[in-house]
Amino acid sequence: MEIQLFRIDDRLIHGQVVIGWASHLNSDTIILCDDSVAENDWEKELYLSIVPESLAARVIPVGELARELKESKNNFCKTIVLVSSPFTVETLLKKGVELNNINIGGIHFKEGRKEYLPYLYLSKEEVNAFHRLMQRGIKFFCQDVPTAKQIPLEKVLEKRTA
Amino acid sequence: MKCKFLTFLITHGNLASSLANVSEKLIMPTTKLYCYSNQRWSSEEIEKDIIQKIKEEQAEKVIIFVDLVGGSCWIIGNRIKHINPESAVIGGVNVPMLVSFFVNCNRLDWNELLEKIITDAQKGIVLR
Repeated sequence: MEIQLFRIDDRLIHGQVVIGWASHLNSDTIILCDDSVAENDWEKELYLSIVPESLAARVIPVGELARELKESKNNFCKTIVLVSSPFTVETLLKKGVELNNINIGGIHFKEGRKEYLPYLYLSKEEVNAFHRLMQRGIKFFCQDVPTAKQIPLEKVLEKRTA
Repeated sequence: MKCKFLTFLITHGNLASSLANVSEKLIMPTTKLYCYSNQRWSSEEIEKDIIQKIKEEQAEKVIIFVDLVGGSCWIIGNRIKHINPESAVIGGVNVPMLVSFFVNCNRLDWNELLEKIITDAQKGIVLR
């Protein structure tokens, strides 16, 4: 199943996605995949309210995205899929989804996280999760906006450890 | 305003502190403006910090200025408003808006103030 852009971004739908990536890629749909947002009507409405009319947008729980990706009924070649953390990616894999190439757009600072890039701060648990995912063959590239340089995650992690 | 109020400015990059500096040079600030950049901090951390300040200061009213409607700062502002309904989130912050706020915050009532600063911000956008 080819997805136009599968992105990890703790801010989910925001300017970089709707103004930056969706325009650059000429996307027609945004899928926000997050269990806690999906079960909160108010928050769901807030995220959907900021999507321009030119884009279709849906908020769905992880299980539903897994089902859709496995069934392959829908076409995702003009769709941006957003999740907030590597743990969601692990859940999708456990549910039998295959993913190859993932954009890391931003995980920001909070206590317990160390800086890897100006837009990438990770805890030990998150670093371990990324290592597990890379061992399964998933390629991650760090790039917050389309005009920025793509940096492979393994280089970012190596540099910080060295 | 006669009630106790707090004011926050949340923006992308260094815009918040730059806007505050410019506005405060134009007019002596009559109240503190707390500035936040979303560049480093997660939305969760900014939200937590602002909620804590509102509780500590026992603010009755809160104004949250943000730069981009629909951006992550807008989302943070709306989350705070959801928790603290006595908040107003104002998108599209510019220098005339902040100057108007400093000039009028101790002079006008809440609703009048909100209307005035929006009007002045819009008046500051001119095409010739």
